Amino acid sequence: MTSNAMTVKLVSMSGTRPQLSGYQSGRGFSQRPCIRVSRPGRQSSVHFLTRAEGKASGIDPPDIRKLAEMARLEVTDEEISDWTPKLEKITEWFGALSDADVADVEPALRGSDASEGTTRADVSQTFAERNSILPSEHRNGEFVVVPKVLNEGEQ
Amino acid sequence: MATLKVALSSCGMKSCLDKGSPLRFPGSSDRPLNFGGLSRNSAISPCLLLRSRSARAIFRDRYTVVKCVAAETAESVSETSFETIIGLEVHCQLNTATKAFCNCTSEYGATPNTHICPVCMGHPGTLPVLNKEVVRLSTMMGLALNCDVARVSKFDRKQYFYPDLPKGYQVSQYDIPIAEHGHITVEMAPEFGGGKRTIGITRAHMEEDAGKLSHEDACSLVDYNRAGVPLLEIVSEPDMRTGREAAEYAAEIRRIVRFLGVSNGNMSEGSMRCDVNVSVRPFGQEEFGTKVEIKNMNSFSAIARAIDYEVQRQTGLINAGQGDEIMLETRLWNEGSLKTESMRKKEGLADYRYFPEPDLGPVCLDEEYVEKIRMEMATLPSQKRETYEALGLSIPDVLVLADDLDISSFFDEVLAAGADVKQAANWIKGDILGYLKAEKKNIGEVKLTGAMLAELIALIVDGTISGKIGKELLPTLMEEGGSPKALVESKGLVQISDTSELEAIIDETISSNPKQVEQYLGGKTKLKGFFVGAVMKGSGGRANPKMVQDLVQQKLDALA
Repeated sequence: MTSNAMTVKLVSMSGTRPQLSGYQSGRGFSQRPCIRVSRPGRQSSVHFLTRAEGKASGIDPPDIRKLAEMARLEVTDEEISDWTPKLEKITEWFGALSDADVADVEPALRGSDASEGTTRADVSQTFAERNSILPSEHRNGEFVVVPKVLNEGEQ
Repeated sequence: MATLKVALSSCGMKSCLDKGSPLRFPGSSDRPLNFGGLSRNSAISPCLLLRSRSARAIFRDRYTVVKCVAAETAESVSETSFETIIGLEVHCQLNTATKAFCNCTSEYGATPNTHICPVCMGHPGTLPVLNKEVVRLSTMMGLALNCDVARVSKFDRKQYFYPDLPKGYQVSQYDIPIAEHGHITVEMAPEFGGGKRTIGITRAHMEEDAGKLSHEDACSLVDYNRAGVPLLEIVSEPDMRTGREAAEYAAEIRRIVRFLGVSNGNMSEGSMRCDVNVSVRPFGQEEFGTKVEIKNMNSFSAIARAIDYEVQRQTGLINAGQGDEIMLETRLWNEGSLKTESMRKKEGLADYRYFPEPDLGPVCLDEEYVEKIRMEMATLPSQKRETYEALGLSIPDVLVLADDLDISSFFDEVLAAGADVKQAANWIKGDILGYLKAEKKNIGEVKLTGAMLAELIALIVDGTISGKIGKELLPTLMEEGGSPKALVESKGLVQISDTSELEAIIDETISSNPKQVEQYLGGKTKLKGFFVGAVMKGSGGRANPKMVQDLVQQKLDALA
């Protein structure tokens, strides 16, 4: 399903120009992070939003109850009221990054530049220890038994 | 037969009127109002169909016709005031030997949970490694769909929890897919209106499949063999307007993936899955209506039926003033009850918290690579259709011959062996496809080759055997193969075209049927057929039919 999801909004990047620096020719395709992946007018999936006036530039404090539900974490009301101002401070602190002028900078998506040889040939190999990665309980013949959860999944 | 649906507001009554059936209005006298014959496709106020002027006056006085809709029972409801907007999302499993990010085999049908490893099971500490073949097939498909193939794209994590998703996220492509802004041309069969339609392709991107869930009463069972199998998701523009167009689009996508060897396109096995997005809006309105997603269609006809049902449901609600009840939701198509049914309504849209997949680098394609794939790409169905059209075949023939890769390959073989185009087309369309359907086989499973069929056709064309004998020989050739020429000789089926030989048989027939001769001479000229038939029988079916016709006529005329 094509997504109409909203990602966590941080700070917006405006006017990034595409910069396709040279990629190795004759190698077919590679996994080197050699190309800057943004395009004009397109926001990458991690982007920053400038905050409205009234607050130091930062990001919207997350809705903890909603986040906890999405992450399947149980939080009590006390924890929510305790954590909200703390998290707000943290996100505000990160918001200081929006003072930096990143108009010409592509987002750093990965820590390392060296990612050679991260593709493989389409040749099968059986993993011999499959019983060690399957649960011993919660089985029904060869199947794994899971709780019946309807309507929450995708695809 | 046309059905006229009339919505009558003041009595709150909806009724379907069949041709000629009387309509009784509540509270009226016992005398029914007779509606005359209804013409097809007419959106006429029923008032005008009432025979008498007084009846029309009564009708106008009491009832306000809110909406008239003429419906074709065979086709979808042709709404005179609504336009249907349809978009399709197709997920195709790619024909790779292994999964997208690990070396487990992606074969279908194995014992559950045997093709798994720590990577596709999402165990901590594992890392994905991209399968080269996934990129090659996706690039090929992007080119086949006339898309802009991104020279650089990346993977993202789509995060949600579900028992069939081992990692808690699906590796997909969010904002920079491998292919975008394409289109395909679809040819509608003549019985559905004919003509070509261009359907836009919004995007195509690579992603991995989840495991397979089956539901029991109190729990569910998962098979993770499918988790991690590579998929190509193809999203169309909302360019389709009828269920039939949508079904044809899906059929064309299937044809393309099969012609290219990108996927099996098997809807019943799940290697191709279609989701439909349907909305309706009044003609002339700019903004789209509320979109409803439909899942769980297992065949192309199910797609057409589901869309037709959903359009009826939505327009019905709008007509009844309940347009608000159309919600942004996912509905399941129920093939048994032939209805779409709501799943539990979700509150709000899902938030997948996309972010770039840190464990995979960008996918960079250089120009040489893309060009090489473009050059090596197999013939597309649309190109095949053009070629066949250029040979002079009619559109219905073209659509049948270019529908399936195996059939079109066979047809090409027959032509390469020198057979006449029209003859070859007729044989394949008629006898051969008929045989395959009856025996439930496909063309690869029979012994008949293209060269053999070409030889058979040549024997008929040069008069060695008749067309009828050819048809009789076909099953043998299908099952055992061999040379048609040798078969004809061994069975002694060479056509008798020698005049003196035929005359001898005719003379015999005439002399042994004096009664019929008398009747013929007395005026029953139709009996000529009897003589021709008897001659054919007497020659064991081998006489040249045309010559027999002429010679019998000559002989009978000579007797007169």
